[in-house]
Amino acid sequence: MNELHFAFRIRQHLNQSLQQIDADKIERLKAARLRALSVQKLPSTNPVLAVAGHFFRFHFEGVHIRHVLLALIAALAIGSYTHWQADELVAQLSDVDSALLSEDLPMEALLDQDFDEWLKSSQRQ
Amino acid sequence: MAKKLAAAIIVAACLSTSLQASTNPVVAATPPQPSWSALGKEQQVILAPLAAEWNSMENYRRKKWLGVAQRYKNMTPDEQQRLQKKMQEWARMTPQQRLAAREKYNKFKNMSPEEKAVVKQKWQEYKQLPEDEKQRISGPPRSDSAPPTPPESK
Repeated sequence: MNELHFAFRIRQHLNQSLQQIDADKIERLKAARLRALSVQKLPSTNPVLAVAGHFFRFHFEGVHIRHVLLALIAALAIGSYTHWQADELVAQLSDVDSALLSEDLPMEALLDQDFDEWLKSSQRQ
Repeated sequence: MAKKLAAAIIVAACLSTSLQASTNPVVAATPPQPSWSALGKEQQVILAPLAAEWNSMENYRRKKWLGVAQRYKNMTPDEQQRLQKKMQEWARMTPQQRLAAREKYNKFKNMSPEEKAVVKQKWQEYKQLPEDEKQRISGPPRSDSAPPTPPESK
């Protein structure tokens, strides 16, 4: 018996059995089918969302919750580090600017490039 | 495997885009800071010279000034007076001028008290120099621009 013949016999058996199902069972099967159809997902009316949904479903099917958690932890770590680094830099700026502005040295002395050169040359002499 | 690689590339692209969005992480990572009206009474008194420009300042600069206001309490009356006098002038300088001033100040800060006194005394001497002498020091006019001078302080 080859494969095709075997499939043919199975189909025959199924068709015969279908004829022998009781009427009430047929009714129950029909009701179950209708219930299933009523709750099945309807196609999206928004093509953009549908395309995005398909994209994510297709591309991230193999991504497990473990990967998502790892990515979240990495993002949190990067975010916390950046925040801490920004805090440190701002605190350093506060320190330097407080000292610089309260210093008894005019701002012009810090900005005048010629004064710098003059100071160096006068120290050399 | 190819899907995971694609996902990693997408995540990396998102991260790099968000990082490139701001060249300065301090600007991006500093949370919103209070507006002028939300400041405490004491902070408003200390930072009074900045009142006009406070609400247009970037968050990291507001945070920096709040840090300065905190340090203000531990200063001597003379230091407090100098700080408030220079505050507005400083806030109106360009970022390049502020950077140059900080760099020079860091060198000055590391000097010994004697060296600092010499620099201060030399500045007084330099100010007394006649204009033609100053021009001789600066040499021929530079093509880029004159040395940066801070805007007039009130």
